[in-house]
Amino acid sequence: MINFIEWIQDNKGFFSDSLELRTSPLGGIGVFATEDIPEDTVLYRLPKEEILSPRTCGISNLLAEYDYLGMEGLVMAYLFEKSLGNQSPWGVFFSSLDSTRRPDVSTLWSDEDKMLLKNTDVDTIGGLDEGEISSLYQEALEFVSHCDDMIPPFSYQEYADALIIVSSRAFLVDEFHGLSLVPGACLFNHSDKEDVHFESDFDVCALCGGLFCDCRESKAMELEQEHVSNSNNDQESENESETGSENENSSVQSGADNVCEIRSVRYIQAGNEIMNTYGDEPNSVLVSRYGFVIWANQNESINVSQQVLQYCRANDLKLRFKWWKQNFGKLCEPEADSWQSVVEVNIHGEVTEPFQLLLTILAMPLKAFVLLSKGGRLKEPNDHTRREAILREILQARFMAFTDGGMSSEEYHRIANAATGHKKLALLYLGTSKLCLEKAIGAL
Amino acid sequence: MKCSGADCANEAGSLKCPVCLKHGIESAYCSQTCFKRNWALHKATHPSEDGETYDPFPKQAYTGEIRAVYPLAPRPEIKESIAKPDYADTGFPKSEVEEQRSHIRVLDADTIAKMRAVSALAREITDIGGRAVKPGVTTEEIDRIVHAACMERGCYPSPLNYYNFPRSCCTSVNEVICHGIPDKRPLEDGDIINLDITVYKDGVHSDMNHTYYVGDKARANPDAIRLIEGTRQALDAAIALVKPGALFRSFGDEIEKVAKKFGLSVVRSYTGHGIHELFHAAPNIPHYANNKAAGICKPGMCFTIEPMLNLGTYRDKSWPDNWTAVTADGKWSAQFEHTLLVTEDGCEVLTARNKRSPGGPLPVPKKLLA
Repeated sequence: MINFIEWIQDNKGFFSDSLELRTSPLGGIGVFATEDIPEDTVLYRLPKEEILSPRTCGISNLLAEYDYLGMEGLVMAYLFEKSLGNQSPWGVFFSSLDSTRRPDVSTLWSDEDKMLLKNTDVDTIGGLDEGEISSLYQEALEFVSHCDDMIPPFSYQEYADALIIVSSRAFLVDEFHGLSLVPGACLFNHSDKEDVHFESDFDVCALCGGLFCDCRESKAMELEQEHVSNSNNDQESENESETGSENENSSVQSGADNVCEIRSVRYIQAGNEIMNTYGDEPNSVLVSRYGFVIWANQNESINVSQQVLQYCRANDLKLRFKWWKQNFGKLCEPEADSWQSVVEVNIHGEVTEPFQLLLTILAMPLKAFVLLSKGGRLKEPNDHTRREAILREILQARFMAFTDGGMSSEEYHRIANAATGHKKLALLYLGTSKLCLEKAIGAL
Repeated sequence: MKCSGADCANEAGSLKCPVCLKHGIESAYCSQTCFKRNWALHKATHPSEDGETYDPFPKQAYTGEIRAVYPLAPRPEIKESIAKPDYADTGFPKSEVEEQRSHIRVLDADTIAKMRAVSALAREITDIGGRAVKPGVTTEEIDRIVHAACMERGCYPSPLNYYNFPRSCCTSVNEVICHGIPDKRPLEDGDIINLDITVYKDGVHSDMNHTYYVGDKARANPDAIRLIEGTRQALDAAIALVKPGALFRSFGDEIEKVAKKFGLSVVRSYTGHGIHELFHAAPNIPHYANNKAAGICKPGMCFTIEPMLNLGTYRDKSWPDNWTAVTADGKWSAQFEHTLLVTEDGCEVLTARNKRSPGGPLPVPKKLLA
């Protein structure tokens, strides 16, 4: 790891003296503060030309030629560079990865362990399905077959390992590089209450990745030329020369600021582990992409779509449900993936707006629904009793679906803390889901 | 008549440069603003009051003994029949900057045939320029000879007006690393000079350069021998690596290895480049070790390798003309360049020497090596 910090410095990067690497209670390595760090302090910096992206790797032109970019391109870039060992400019970075643990993602758990999360959101988003990896592997082999032995062969297991390492560490850097490995930035562990942010200028030239470059000037000049030919007087031309000199000034700093940074977003106390955020992700994404779960994750929610369907069936409300399904979209910003994805309650016990609409419709008198379905306006009921009763019934049905004898979230938390491995992750996952339900029921 | 503004493709108006008129030359411009914008560049062609040559820059602009000797010759004419690249009239290579930087072209058989033919012409023209190198000849005269050789062969001299470069080739003497502008300085016995020639014909460019000893005094100078032969060998060593599957970033490691052996440093600011319908394109090929150039060789790619090696520091500085690159410590610099084609099992040096080419290698005494 000392080598690796030196590597960052040798590559025009910066790794603050206020940082220390050591074993994290979360497992693997974490970054800790050796002294108090004020808000808005740059803790890490690396110029973009030093990152590993589909644009910077040795096979960049092959990836571009076959338009094999994005996550798949980055995995291929990683496999190629890793095959070169110490000959690769990122060799030291790869060795540092070997000393950290590989994320224990749910897609690769044993079938027996996967059963622990069967029928949860993890299952719904494909987090228990290894099939996606094998289809990506097939695509990778297809790409390699075009490359005339330039890329050394790799097994399915090597591909899967690479995919997991890369997808758990990639940052979206900018429009040019796309998803990239940023050596050092990925040392920070994830929390839903983060201390630092990853920062990078996203708006760069799509042709060359520069912040200020000829390509952009070319576009600017074209616009100006149109301008000049429209009104060919001296004043316009003078403006032109002024703009020209401005461009010259900005090209002086060209490249200087085109970096990736980690910056503190709050005051950090000496001794604390410094946490980043990998995005506002629920536990289902965390366990399937990174192999961990956060108890009471602030981005968690639980899906109750099965119970909603059952309720509508049992109470002969399918027509109302169908009407809602066709109309709820207007309430969704951005557009929802499916009706199922909006029927959920979050960790604060809150219900989404489209779900509230559904409850209102299910609760309204038949006459009101008939009027509504004929184009009438929706009237919010004064009395929420009926609506709350329906929600309670749905939530309780979801509660019972756990088939755990009605264990509370607290009990889950307690036995999770005594458990290990996948069982512990599954218990934390289920307990947090249950916490969402308890919060929602409690709010009624 | 075309406007004399280097960055202007308009027809000239009635406005003429009064200084030129006084000397019996007509330099007409389309507008006052165009004239003003091109003034700095144009002024360099004005003779001094007494009709003598002069030094246009303050003393602190220089790092060694070479001085700019102005006025520059007026921009040379291009024969009507010769096809020009897109920047010839505007100074701005639009098609180049609009090319996606990670895209490295693989040329088809037809374009490769053109590259081969134009490269043979680039070699011929360089050899003609090389034969003109001797003590007493000005770099401007060499440029005139090169330009005439281009015209005879139906070639556009690619450097001319590329980002407003004022001449048809680059002549880089002693501490000048590259992009020296041919002027009125006569070569001296003991100098070294690099001739950088690029020509454009049938829609493609070919680029090469060569460093020559000027006179017997240079051929007897151990430092000049160590510098020129070391640089020549560095290029040859890098070329030996070029084949399908070779990484562009690997060439710099090899060049730096040879440089070390000869006790030379490697310039970092200037790189080799892809070449075809575009003068400068991807890939970008640094000549120093441990670089992170992106990309891998495939058959059908054309690019240059053109290491610049120095006796002293690798650091460079520019003259106020914004072209001439000189070593920061004023010690001498040499360069060699070829345009290469990646083949199925190696590479073809499209601009290779032939039996009649001047400027062959000198033996290197063992004691000169580190």
